[in-house]
Amino acid sequence: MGSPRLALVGAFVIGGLLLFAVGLFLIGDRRLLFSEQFEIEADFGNVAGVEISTGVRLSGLPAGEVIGIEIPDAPGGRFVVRMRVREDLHSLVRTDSEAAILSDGLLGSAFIQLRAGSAAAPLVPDGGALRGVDAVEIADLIAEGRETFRIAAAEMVAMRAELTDTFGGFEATIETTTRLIDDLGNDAQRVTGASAALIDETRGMVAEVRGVMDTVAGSQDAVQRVLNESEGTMRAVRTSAERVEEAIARFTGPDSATQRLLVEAGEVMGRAREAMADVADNTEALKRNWLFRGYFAERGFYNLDELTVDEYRTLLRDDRYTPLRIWLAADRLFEADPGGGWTLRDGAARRIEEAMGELLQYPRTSPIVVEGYATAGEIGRRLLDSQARADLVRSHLTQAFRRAGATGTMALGAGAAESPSGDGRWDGVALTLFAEPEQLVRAGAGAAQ
Amino acid sequence: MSGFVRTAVVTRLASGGRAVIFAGRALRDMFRPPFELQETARQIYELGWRSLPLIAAAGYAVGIVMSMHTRASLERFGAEALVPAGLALALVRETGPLVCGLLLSGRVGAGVGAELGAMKVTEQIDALEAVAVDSFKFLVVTRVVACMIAMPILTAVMNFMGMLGGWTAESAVSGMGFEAYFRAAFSLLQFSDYVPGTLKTMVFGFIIAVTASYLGVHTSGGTQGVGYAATRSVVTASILMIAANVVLVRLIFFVFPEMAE
Amino acid sequence: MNVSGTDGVNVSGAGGVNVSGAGGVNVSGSRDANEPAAAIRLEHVSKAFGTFRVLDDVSIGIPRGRATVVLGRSGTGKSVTLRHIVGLLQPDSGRVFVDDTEITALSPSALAKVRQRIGFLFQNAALFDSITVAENVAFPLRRHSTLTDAEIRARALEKLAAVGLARAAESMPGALSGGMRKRAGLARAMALDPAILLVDEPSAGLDPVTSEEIDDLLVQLKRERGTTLVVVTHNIPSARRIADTMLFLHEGRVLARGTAEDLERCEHELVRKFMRSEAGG
Repeated sequence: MGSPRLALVGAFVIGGLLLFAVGLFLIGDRRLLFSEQFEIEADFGNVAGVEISTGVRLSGLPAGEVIGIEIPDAPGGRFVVRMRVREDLHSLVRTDSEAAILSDGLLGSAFIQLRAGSAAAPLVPDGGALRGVDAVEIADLIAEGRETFRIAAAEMVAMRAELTDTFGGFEATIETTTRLIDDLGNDAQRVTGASAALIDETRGMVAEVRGVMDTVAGSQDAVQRVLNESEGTMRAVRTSAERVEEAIARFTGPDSATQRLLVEAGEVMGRAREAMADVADNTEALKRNWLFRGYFAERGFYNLDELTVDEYRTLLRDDRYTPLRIWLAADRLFEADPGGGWTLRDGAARRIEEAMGELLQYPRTSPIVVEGYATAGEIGRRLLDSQARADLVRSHLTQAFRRAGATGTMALGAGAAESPSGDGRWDGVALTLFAEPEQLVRAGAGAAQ
Repeated sequence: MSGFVRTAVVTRLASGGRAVIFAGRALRDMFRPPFELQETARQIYELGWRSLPLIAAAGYAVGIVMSMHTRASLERFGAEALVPAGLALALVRETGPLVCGLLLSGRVGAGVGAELGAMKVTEQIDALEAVAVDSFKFLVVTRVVACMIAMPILTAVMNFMGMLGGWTAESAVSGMGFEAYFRAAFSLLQFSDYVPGTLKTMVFGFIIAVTASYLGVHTSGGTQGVGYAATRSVVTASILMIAANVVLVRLIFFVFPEMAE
Repeated sequence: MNVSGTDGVNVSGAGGVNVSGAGGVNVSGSRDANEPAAAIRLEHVSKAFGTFRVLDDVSIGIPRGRATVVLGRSGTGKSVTLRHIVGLLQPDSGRVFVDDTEITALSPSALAKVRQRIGFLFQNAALFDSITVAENVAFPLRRHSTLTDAEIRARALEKLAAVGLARAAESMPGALSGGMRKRAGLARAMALDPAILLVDEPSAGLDPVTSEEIDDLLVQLKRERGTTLVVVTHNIPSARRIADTMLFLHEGRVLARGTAEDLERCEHELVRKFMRSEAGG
């Protein structure tokens, strides 16, 4: 047996052992056996799908695993799930953090999502406990919301009938009023219809799997927001109804008071409609949040937050979706604030809105990603700056255009192959809309501003 | 029971008994010096290294095909995210070890059965004994040990190539990155899937080599007997290996109960 | 089976011409097989395969430094006798001695020691066909000597040259002709310079000229090194060239023993007929 063959045998055995060891390491690394950890626990009424070694995530980031499940002493008690979490995330786990059992997609395995706490709350000590949020609570919340909408819609109908009765004698005004009320009613109907569909959809999902929502915080907040808005609407509707009644009480005849009343009623209705539109927007946003998820899930990435820079760049090159980009230079948008961060400078808001104007002609369901770029400093600095810039622009877009759900950010540092500067770098932001080719009714939207 | 049947049954039992004694001797002699290290290395080269292209190609193809099938069924539930993890789990737990074992029992079973059979009928085994070499250690134990070393390594290669094939299929469909794929693939794997699944192939290797060696050194009837020994090696080794796999899986579930869930 | 009570060696079952020392046809020099001069002794060896009795209470003494040819028709236990001497077969009853060591009672490792003193040339040479001819010859040296690689190589080439195969050293056995294979097998059997050489059918499957060359090599070995030869054959011309003593086996027993002349004058018609045949049985 020659020595070259002996060397091959050595390579074969050592290579095989290495391959095996790499596998062991990958499994061990995922289970965080090689990093410092601390333990926490959370209680749940139902631990379906959770077992030893089920993953734990903190705001979507893999953070640890379940190491034990304690069974309650008596029926009705709560299960205590013990978890091991990376020590470097300890500073985010506060006493007001919450844990929820969620799952990846319809057939996805369960995982435990931790919500980072607020800075004001103290750290959870090693071995400490968090509040567990049961999946059922979210479903309950939505059911409650549905009830609210039902009441709101009923209230609209009642008000319309009342107003029709009241103004029944005045031919000239009836038409206007009815149209007004119809508009309002339609709005309410639309909201209710949309949210009922949404609720049905969500309920179905919740029933089938344990929670579909992206993050505890995100989804719960979104639903809560919808509920708050609709409560506001109800208040507005009630107020307007009361004012109308008040006016009717003072009603004496077809004089100027009637005109005043109608104007006033119109204003009130307008405000109510605005409030309802808010609800509609938020509901749409919530829905679009899922659509947005689906968009990325379709390409093998499941959450924009989990997308790495490289993966995002790959996505930009995908030929099934055409990114439309509008480049905005930093010197016209931002100024450094004394704290080392960035703020929008004068006129920046107008520039952003102008740029958005180009993109608004595409369907609202098309996701928009605010890409942040920065060229100054070393790589860490550049990434932080670009994230800060993207966040600033996004928060403005969210306020101005109510696109919370369909808008994400991506910090890309300095490199921008397609930038109008021509040197493969960009300093500023780019608004990138992902549209399907058939939606591209107009070319040339990628021109620099 | 007729005399003929009784004789047939007794012959079968006796032959089975001899095979068990043969296996026991292989197991015992493995740990008794002198160790035929150089010959063992040669056999690792012959049985392991030279099986690499086959195993790698098969693993890659199996990975692609399994990925496409897994994807097709998971797509209906919108669970494409689970394709890498599902493929990895199936590969590491069962498909990798079993396919690798069957391929090796085909290649090695036939090879060893025919080689030893030919050595037997051309008196080479006697010649070994005549030059004062323990032919059992020199021919059988070396092949058994080589097979037991090569199997887990080839299985690791098969698993890796399978995942590579899975990634190829996945990236063609969804453009998923290499690193992202492997991260996703390992997301559901446990040590209790990986370690026993890989190490149980040592038992497969033992069964394959012992069966082929036994049939090889008990070859009679000239060149026709050699062909017969080769064929029977493949068939017997495959069946014994699959049967042993059932027992091993039960045993592993017994030792690692969390795997059965 | 009959066993003699006193002298454990000189008994045959059939009462043939086979008692040494007692007159009649003698082993060379009329020495008793019990004397140390007997390199190999079989005592009352019986061996059966299934119900077929191959050796039936055979007792033989092989003198040291001489060439003994075992004759007999096919299937009369000639090769089986040879295999017993090197321990490849164990007798069902009886004992086998090599240099006064009872090999039938040895542990595997002690038996291996004895085997190193015995060379065995198989009927079809039994070369290891996965290694070269030179490596075949070197194989016993690698296993049982403390020589360096270079010394082993030199020794192997020397042995091959002695059988006229120096040029085929790097060939694979499969590429050799029957005669070349046999010569290579002889070189391997001689690699450790054994005191005893067992040869199974040296002329089987060879043309008369090649066969004669092999015989000459064997005779030369005996003459130059004093190697004890035990040759199994049914080729009479070959036997005549080699033999100092002949044994005739028939139906598991020794039917006759002595020189060629002794066997030609043997009382058994079969033996005389066998000796007259030139082409061999």
